[in-house]
Amino acid sequence: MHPRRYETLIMLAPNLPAEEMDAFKEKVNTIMETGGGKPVSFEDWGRRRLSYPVKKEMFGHYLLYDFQGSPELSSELERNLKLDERVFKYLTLVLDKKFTDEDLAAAKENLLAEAARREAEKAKAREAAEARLSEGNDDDDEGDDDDASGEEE
Amino acid sequence: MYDNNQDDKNPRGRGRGKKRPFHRRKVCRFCVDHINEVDYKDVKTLRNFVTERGKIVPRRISGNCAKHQRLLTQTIMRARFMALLPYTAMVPSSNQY
Repeated sequence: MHPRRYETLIMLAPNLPAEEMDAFKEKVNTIMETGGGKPVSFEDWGRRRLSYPVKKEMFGHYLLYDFQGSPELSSELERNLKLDERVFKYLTLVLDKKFTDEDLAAAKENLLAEAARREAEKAKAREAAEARLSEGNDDDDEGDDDDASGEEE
Repeated sequence: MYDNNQDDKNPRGRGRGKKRPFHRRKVCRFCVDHINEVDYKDVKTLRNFVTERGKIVPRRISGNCAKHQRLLTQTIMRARFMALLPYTAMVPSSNQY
């Protein structure tokens, strides 16, 4: 069997203490490791407002796992999530049915490149904004100076 | 419930008797941009294809092709399941319901 690429989004109870959150992440990581899964990326979305109440809560803590693994690993992970009281909901999607180690490396590289590009764009935008701001300030300063000199005269 | 449709069928003023008084060819946005994947986590994009109430915008309004409408519907349903999008939402301005 070819390894697959999965993506699991987990919605957790919103007000878990930090230790419990770490424990949960640790638990998922051990499941991944024992099942021979390799992470592609992990995102912690933090507390987000839900579109409708789930278990009478209006907020949820989202975790996103993108990983390479076997179908057995995915079902094992889902079994554990189902049993865990802290998990409100979870959704696993198969992103790729044939996801080799080379694909994994490529995907990671892609993610890094994208992150770098986004960072660069952000930096550029910030620079542009700063430049505009400082320009605006310069104009204002000059105007003030003129006014001030006018008053002095 | 189907306010929008009724407006579409009976536009006031001109073309009362005609079946299709106003017709403009709509093009599928996804086909134009060659997008063949929609991420259910991309709520911002999905919001464009959902009414204020949270209902999926029908094809005749959005102009999507059948293929992309199916894809979109599937994606919206996933987003709904994970509470990223509402199944229904109260419209703050109306007190009907």
